[in-house]
Amino acid sequence: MMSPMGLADPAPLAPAPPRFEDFYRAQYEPMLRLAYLLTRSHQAAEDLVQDSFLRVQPRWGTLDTPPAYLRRTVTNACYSWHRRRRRELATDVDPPAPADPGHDEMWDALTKLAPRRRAALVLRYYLDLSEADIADTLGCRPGTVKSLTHRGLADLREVLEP
Amino acid sequence: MNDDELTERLRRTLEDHAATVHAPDDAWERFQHLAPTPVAGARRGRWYGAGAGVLAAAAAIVVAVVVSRGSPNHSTHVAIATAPTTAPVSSAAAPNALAAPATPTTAHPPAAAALPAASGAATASTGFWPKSVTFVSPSEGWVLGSLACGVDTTCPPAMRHTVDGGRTWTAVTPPPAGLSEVRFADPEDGWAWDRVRGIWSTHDGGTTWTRVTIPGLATEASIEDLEASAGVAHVALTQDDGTVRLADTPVGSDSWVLAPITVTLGAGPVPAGQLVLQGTVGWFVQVDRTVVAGARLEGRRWMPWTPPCATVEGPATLAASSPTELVAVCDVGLWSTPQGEQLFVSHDGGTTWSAGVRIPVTSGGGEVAVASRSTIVVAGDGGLVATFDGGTTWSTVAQVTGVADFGFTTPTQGVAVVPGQSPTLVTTHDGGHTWTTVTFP
Repeated sequence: MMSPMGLADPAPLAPAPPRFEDFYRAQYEPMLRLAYLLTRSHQAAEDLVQDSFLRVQPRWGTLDTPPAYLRRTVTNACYSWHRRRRRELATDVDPPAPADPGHDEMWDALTKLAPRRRAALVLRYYLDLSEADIADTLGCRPGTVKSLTHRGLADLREVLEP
Repeated sequence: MNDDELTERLRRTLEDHAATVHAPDDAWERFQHLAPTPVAGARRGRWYGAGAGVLAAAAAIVVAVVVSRGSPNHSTHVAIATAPTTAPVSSAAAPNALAAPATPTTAHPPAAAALPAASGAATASTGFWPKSVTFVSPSEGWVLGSLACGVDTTCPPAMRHTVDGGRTWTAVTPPPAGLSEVRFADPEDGWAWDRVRGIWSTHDGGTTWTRVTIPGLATEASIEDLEASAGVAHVALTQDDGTVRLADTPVGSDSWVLAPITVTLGAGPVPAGQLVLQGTVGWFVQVDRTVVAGARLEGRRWMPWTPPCATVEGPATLAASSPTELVAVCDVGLWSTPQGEQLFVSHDGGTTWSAGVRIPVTSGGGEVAVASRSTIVVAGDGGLVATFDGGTTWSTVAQVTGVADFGFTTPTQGVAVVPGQSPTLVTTHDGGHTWTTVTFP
């Protein structure tokens, strides 16, 4: 096709490759919030999110959907954190931490959920992800997401309305 | 409280608590301090395909198979450009000087441009972004990747296949979307996988792909690494119970069996495992910031093994050029007092190790490829550095950083994926002295 100037239209340019720094700056805070909701620990959230970016960085440029990959990485890191913490708590003799004076019942109830159910609820009701996206994030089938969400809500109800 | 009230209250709580979290102003600077590589670091733990010895031994048989698969009637092969273009790498590139010689083992594909050894960087940009590469012989290989696209869109999966050592490439049916790694054991049997999405196998050269299940494995296991050698495929998987499991299957079927051994998972947040195979011998190292644990394959049985660098407060990457010649690149003191990347060598299959030799790179992920006892190439932050005398002297041989799937298929032929912002594949056909960028049609 020729332009009015008689010159051949240039071939459409491929989109400029995104910079990792831009991606980091755009995603850091949302991921920090997600990690905090999953761990309830500011320090753990910061560590896990930084480590997740460290994991994503070497693959930068090869990922189909970097935000989804990062979300999976953060969620998995938080899940691993819970898993290790369970092992540590099983051998710890320290007394439980005192209740947060600013707590609310729902927030406390969330901490009593199994990590996968809690993750499913956070992804569904905080990030508003679809069942398919939650399944992709958690590495399970959409049917499992449905079950995790249903059981998570049932657990919450049980804690809040004993 | 009905369901709507419950979920509304849940939403409010989550939003209220999330709103209390704010990113520190210096998060990016702190990340840069932590990051081992400036932009695109190496994926640790990626030694691809079968060992050089196995490939060399199998080459004659495989070439015969390749001829039959090269028929235009092969339904999965979509014929596209057969005269690939030259990558616009730098003024130093001399593509016309790279005409393919007669023998595939020493061919320099014309679909390539020489990488500068000391300055400049690969800037080749194509519509195909490679992610993972595997060769079953000096001539036949596959590259899994995607069509180039933007950051927030799903890039369509794509795969390229060569039967002439990379001189020409054809588009073939890719495995399902979302898979990032590929290995073939022979022209028919291959696997594609993603850490959380699982493994797919093909036993018809990639025409069809089937989801793999491993009996007895926890449902939430994630895949650390997969390699095949000597007619057996091995996979390492992390389970939620804090262990790593190893499983294997004959390459021609999906008869996966878990090995009795379990390997401890580290306490760090980002576990990673690496499998290295040489014939019927192999090694597995589990890293999570530091070296955690390992296992060694003897025959078809995985045994407990103490990997190198278990006490150096940093990660390790392995590579082998024979069942006895093994090297480890360890980032000594990364998580305590950094002392840089160091090379450790074993001549007895990982039982004993030499003292570390400092590699002249400041950091870079430590991805390593070995062609022989004397030729070792390490990916550093300043490019690929190589020694051709077993570690005494080193020189920079290519200005690429952050490579993955880095390895030699023969003592002279090697490949690596360079992820970066415009992913490329680089190859060497002279034992690591020079590296060229492959341009895909």
